[in-house]
Amino acid sequence: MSLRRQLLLVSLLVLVLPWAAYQYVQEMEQALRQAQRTALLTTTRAIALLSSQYLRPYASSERTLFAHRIDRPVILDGYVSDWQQLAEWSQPVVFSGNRRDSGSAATGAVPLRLVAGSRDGDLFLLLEGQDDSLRYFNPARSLPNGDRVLLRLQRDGEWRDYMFLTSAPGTVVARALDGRKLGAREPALQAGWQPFVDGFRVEISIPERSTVEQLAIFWIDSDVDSPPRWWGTAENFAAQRGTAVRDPREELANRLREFIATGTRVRVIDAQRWVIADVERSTPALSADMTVRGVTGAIAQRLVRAVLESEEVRDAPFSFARGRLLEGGLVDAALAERDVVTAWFKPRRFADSVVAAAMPLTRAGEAAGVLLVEQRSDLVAAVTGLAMTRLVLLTFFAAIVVAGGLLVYSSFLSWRIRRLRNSVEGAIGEDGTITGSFPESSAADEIGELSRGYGRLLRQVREYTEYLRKLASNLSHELRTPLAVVSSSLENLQSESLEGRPAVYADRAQQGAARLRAILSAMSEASRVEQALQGGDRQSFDLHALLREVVPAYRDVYPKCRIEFVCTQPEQSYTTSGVPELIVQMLDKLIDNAADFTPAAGLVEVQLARHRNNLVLRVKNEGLLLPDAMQSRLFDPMVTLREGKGDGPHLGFGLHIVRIIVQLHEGTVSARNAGDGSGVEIVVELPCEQIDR
Amino acid sequence: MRRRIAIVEDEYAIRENYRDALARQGYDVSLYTDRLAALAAFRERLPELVVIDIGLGDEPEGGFDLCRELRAMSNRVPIIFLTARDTELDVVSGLRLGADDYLTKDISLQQLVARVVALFRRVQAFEEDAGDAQLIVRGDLTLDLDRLTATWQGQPLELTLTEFWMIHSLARHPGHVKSRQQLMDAANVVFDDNTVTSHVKRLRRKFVDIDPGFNAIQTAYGAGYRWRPEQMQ
Repeated sequence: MSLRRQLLLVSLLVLVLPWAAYQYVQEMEQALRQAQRTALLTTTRAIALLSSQYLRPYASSERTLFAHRIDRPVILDGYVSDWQQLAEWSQPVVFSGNRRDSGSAATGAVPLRLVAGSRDGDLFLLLEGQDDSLRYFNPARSLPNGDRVLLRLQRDGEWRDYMFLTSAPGTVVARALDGRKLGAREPALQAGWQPFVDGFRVEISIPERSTVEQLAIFWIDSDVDSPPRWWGTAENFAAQRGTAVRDPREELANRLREFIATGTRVRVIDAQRWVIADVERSTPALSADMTVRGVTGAIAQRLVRAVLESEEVRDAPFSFARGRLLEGGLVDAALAERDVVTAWFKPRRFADSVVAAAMPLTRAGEAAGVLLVEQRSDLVAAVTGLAMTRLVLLTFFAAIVVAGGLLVYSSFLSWRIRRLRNSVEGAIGEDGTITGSFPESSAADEIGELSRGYGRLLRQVREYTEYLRKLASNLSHELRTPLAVVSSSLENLQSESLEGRPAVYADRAQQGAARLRAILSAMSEASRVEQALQGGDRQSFDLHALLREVVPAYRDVYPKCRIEFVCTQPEQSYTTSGVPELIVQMLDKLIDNAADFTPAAGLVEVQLARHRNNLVLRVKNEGLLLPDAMQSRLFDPMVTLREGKGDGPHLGFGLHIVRIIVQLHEGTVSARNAGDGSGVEIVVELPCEQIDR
Repeated sequence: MRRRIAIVEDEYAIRENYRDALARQGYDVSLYTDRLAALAAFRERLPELVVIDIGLGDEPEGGFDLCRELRAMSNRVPIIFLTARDTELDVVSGLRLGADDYLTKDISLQQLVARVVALFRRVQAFEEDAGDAQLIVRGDLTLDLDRLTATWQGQPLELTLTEFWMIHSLARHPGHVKSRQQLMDAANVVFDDNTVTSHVKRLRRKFVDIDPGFNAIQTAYGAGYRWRPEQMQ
């Protein structure tokens, strides 16, 4: 895998950033939810305290008439079936007295019970009293008589009195009271009057409850043998202070409305599971700076939400139907726990999740209802979603920027490394010699150091190979002087008239010196060849003509083998530029080499061809094949395959000099076994002289 | 009267061997080990032929310096460089300084003696200035075998002995190819083929300096060289 890919993979680690951001936002959301839950708990407890006040039985001293909403239509028939739901909400009737006392309160238990209710803006009153002797109205008498109900209503600051009296059970229409006399009928005020075993019930309907500022209601019980007694909600019949009418549910709702925060819905459920208050405040629209703008933003938000809200849809742990609690999982839990319980739910996908708290409401230590507070976490979701979107977007872009930067940087690095490699490869020639110059980097980092290290190494290797290359010629120079001493001494010795054995020994020594001289000459040949070429004297010459002239001459030199010259395309131009003497010298070496390895009467073939802009010279000989390992080393100095036989010294410089000559002519040389396995061929390619020159 | 030869050579054994060989031929040989001693002696009295090694003791180029100083003293004294250094550069430098021959220490004593004899012969020819010069004329080329001098188109060629004998060998039989070995034999030297090649190259250049259109020395690839017959020039 390339360095660039590796770094690209490593740069993927940057994607941990969006992940970390996601984790962070998740935790933030958890924290926010926790905070919201805690806040909701506090709110719930506060609201519960408030709500239970509205559930509490009323103290007898209160001058308030609580008119609860009645869910069912009220039929003025004097039966209590339609009042069931308000059974517990009886109002205190605290004052009593007898008429002759004219307002002073009577003592003893109050046999009256008053319940107020409201529906469709009307006020309904249920008066229930105990009376073992019911006396009906005698219309024959002008003044009010019999058991009767006095209703005083204050509207626009003005009190008006109405009297309900009847001669028989049933519907009663109120009559205005003018002083002590009965006035006109008041059809808007009606009542249902019904006696029962030891008492009575009167259901009164008063229209337009909201216009009633205060009211007072009295039950006047007349007796045959004693003056009538009364019980009522005011000190006397003319009292200016009456009882205010209030709807506790509405008030509860109003009070709750003050308490609840946005996105919150509060419901108060009574013991019978009726919803007695249901207040909601909707969430305001998010401010502009809290939304993510743009299409990308929207897409990102969608994505983020899809990820963030991947938690499954959870149904609300309660349900309502027709104003009543239908399933009360959470509510039941709260009742069982006798404490506040919270739960999360999420009604629909892509909707806000909701945190709900249920708290049992107690009245006098008894469970009287449950407070259910729901709060939409849309704010949480919005904040976290927004934060998430921004964070994820930012970190994602950051990741891309970092990954891109890393990619660019890694490309740069790998480019530098590749350049270094190419320089090293360029500096080392095909034959392992260090040819080209190596550009050392000046960078201060490790690659620069590596480059400089390579430079040093290559310099040292170059110096070493240079030293090795020059070794032979230097050595031959150094050896020449002692050799001159030896040979001149020997010659002097021979000029003394030696006889017998000493002459033989001197002769042998002379032969050895001569051989040594030939060896030294061969060793310095390479450097002399180079000098010869540096001396210039390049000229254009026709290789074809040269070969035609030279090759036959070799037949005399090497009579034991057949030497043939083949040129299949004689019409081509074989002009090249160089030093023809050196080319001949190269041929000498090649032919000598080929002839040496060719068996007796074997064929040495010199082929010339033109391949594009190269002249291709092949010298093929029959005979032993090259070992594979030798094919590339064959042109190195002091490498030879000859097995010590033959007449002249063979130090393996022949093909080395061939290579030097070829290289000096900008050509290439290679050795390989001929395709048919018949022998070895050495291929020299020389650049053709450009015709347009 | 014995001819006086000076050998300036720092290597004791070679010095002595050369002296023995030359003394056997009846020459009066004096030996010097360094440049200053030789120079001092030459100022006293010039020898008739000087053999100089290039590297002299501490002076790697001492022989060149000595040659220059000697040429300042006399234009006529034959000088032979005899050295282990055989690079093209050294040969060219030595000959440019006015040496009459440049031999490597590979040379055999007999050859050395032959060169010395030949040089003395040239000197003698100048000294005697005999009327009947033995001349070989090949077109523009004239070779004086007594004085061992050559002219091309009437202008003298400054040739070393080696070069003279090579030209002589080639020009004596125009059109005949002389191998490198034959040229070496003619010049009484042992070179390798490359040195012959560079000698020929230098010879050509000397002719070209006089006559830019010179092409009388032809290369016979793989065989050697030949003097172009006149009708082909």
